[in-house]
Amino acid sequence: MSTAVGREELHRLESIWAEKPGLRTFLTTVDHKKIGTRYLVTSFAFFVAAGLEALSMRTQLAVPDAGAIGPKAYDELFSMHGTTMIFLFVTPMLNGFGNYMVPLQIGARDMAFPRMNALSYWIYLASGIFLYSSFLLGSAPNDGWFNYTPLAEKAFTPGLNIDFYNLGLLFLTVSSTVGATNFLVTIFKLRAPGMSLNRIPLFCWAMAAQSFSLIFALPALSVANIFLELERRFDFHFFDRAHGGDALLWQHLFWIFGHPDVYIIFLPAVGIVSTVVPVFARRSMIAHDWLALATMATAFIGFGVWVHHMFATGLSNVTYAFYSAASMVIVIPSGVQIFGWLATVLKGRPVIRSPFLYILGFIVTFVIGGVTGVMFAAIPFDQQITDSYFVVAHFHYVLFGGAVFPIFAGIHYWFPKITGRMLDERLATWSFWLFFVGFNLTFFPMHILGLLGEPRRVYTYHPGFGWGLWNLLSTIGSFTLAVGILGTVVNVIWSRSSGAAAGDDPWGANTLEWATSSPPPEYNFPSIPVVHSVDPNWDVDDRRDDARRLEHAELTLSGGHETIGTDWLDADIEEIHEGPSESPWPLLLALTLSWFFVAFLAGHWVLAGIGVGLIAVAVGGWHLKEPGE
Amino acid sequence: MIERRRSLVLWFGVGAPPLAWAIQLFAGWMLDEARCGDGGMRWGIDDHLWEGIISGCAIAAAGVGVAAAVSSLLAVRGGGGDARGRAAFLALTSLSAGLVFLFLTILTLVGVLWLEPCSG
Amino acid sequence: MSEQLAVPVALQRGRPLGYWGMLMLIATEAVLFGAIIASYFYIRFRTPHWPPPGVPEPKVLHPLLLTVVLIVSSLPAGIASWAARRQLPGRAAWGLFGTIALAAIYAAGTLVVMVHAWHKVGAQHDAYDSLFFTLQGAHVAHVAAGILINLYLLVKISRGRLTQYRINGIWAMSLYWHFVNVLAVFVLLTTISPSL
Repeated sequence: MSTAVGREELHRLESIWAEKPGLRTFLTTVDHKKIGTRYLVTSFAFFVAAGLEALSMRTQLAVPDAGAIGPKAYDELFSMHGTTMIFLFVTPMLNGFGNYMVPLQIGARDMAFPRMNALSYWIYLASGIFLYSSFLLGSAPNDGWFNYTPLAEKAFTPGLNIDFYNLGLLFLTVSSTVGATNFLVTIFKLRAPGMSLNRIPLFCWAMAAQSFSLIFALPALSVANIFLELERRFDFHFFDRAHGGDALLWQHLFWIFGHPDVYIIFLPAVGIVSTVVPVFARRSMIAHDWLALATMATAFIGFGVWVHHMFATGLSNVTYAFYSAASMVIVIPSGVQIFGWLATVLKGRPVIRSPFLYILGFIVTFVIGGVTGVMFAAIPFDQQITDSYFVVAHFHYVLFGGAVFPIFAGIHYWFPKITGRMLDERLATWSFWLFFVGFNLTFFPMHILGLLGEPRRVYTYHPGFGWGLWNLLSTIGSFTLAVGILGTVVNVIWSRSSGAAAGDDPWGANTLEWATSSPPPEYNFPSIPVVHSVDPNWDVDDRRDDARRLEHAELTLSGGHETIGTDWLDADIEEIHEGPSESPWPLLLALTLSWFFVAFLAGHWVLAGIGVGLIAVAVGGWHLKEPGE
Repeated sequence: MIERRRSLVLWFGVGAPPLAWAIQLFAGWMLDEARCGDGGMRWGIDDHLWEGIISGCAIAAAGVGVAAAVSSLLAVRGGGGDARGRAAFLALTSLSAGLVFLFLTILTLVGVLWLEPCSG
Repeated sequence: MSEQLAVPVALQRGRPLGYWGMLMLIATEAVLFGAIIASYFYIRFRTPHWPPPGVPEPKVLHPLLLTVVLIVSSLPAGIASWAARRQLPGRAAWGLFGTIALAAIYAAGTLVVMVHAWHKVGAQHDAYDSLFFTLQGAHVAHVAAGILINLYLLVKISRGRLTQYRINGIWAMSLYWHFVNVLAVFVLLTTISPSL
């Protein structure tokens, strides 16, 4: 029963938070839900692009001596496939879910820095376009997604390919760093009252672990990119032996970023798993505390294993010992997570729906990938199968299994919340099985091919090695997988307008995003929820109290773009935070950064210098208008 | 103040074991690089001695961290005024993590003492 | 539920969000410099002669004096932050001005040292030189950015009121300065290490 006070509060909130539809809002929005949706759509588009690159490669490799794609084009394809999938698809897609759901799950009205949120999206889009424009110039990155020196140095790859790589990644890094800062401050300072550290949802723990990892790992990549670009453009020396440099320095710097990067990808994805499992097992997550710990421990130990990517480079055995030990021990927290999920499913009463199907698919594929991963920790074995298709099989099982399956679970789970409609279950089920069978048919044969000696990154192979049949099966699998993905795309597009109405909480879920409407109103919650357990949406009394508070205008924070700020440990109320409304500066700053990177790529130093000036102006403009003015 | 001391012990238990391992790894690796690189070979670094010292310190620090976590857990179980269960969460998880990191530091010690430096 | 949920209107118990954001920026920049410094020593450990033959050992006195000047600038930076939080715009402005002046001396002096070094042996000579110029240049760039931002803050508070937004900005920037100044010690120790 709503009171006049309650209705008045709602009316006030609506008028404060409303963003008028139109081009202006499109370019200036700071709403985390709109930005999250953009991340999801844009990253899926990059997924399709990278998928097409993969299908081209699989077509070429279907039979020996195919002759469909030459070596130079093939080099660009595998390099861009890897770079796109890692940098432009998985992490941004997971950040899209994070952007949309984290504020909702913690009971906040937006991220801590809404304009920086918009900025990180625009930079992501600009850097993706920047990287893909390399195809138009016939100079896409072509030295693999990890771009080893000396091949990546000017002497061996003189074209713009690697400059696109270096500058594109430096550009993207700004977005990722800004985003990580935003998530950390949001998760630690904007939680609902009562949401102490032990009540933080596992998806938010995952986003926090990912963000810490980004903060500490990205600089290593940036230093590598800066060093290489200084070498290529200004003849500095870092990696060339002839002038006192060392080619392995690139590998160290790259993998100091690169290994944590796999956890940057993996942890939010399994955060989605941890979100979906309790809902479909119909019980609270067993050992919630341990899974939170496992998330943070995996991220931390992940910083100490990078040399396992270099076991074949001839370093000292004592050096190897450090990283081999850590590579084995890192399995422990992952194991804890798997057992936690399995125990929850086994002790619950599972309900099989499409999100849960993808979770089951994830468990199977990720465990297979994990098993082959532990095999690599044994240096003698690693040195035998390094750079072969066995490696390709392993990382696709862990990446596809460990990230893409959960992403698809997330799509099916959260589609109702974002759109207010349900996906079609039958189409979703058919798509899942094509996806699952296609995936395994594509990548399982690669284990065998690796053991039979097929190297990775070769554009063709001759008959007589016994590789033809397995490659053909793999190609058939890849097209099957593509059809499965297409099924989901069709489902999403069709259901947006014609799906069944979802209501607030179609799954009967336990986290706070389901405590508000689908899609949520601009202000997320009419009154800030107060939380007393780890499954707040199952605490019916608490949610009734939220409604009661609205009717008394308590914790409605309707004085402006307000959300509550709480203490990071126990979530006691500290203050009210006032945030910005629409602003043009994120887009403008992203454009000035684009100017700088394009000018630098083209070697126009004067224009690049002007770009630096414009960036300074944009930063100044950003801070010109202050809240309350 | 007892509360402040309890808090310090709790956070020591959370942070010491992982940091001990991280420093063992980074210092130990840099030492090995110095010992085996062309630039550092003349400095006469006794690899096993120094690796042993670094690892020993790490194991000790991790061990103290685990002890701190045990102490925190006992304090919480003894009724330490933890209304939302947050301190219990930190104490229990830091104990588990501490044991894993302690194990890791010991495992690393075995590796660096057993193997010959600079051969690969 | 017997919890106190009313939020007093002027309650400001926590630090501003920008403070935490700045800490994250400092963390990531610290790792950036850590990676450059680690690269320096990584290459050094693999090089028999450091500096390489034909390259003079690095100067110690000038960089040391300049670094001292920069570290001293933490004092006015701290005063600016303290004064701003106590609503003392005049003192805050002088604090900002002092920080800018000392940092500008450091930046100008360091650039002179770098230009002299470049004329002797440029960055393109060897990895030693490339690392020196990259490390030193990265640090000076961070100082320069800090000077610009401080100037902006100074202009703002000289021409207008000391709003909460500007106080938060000065507070966050003081953190940045302390970070840059601590970093200067590590940069100095690294660049003069062959002469030690």
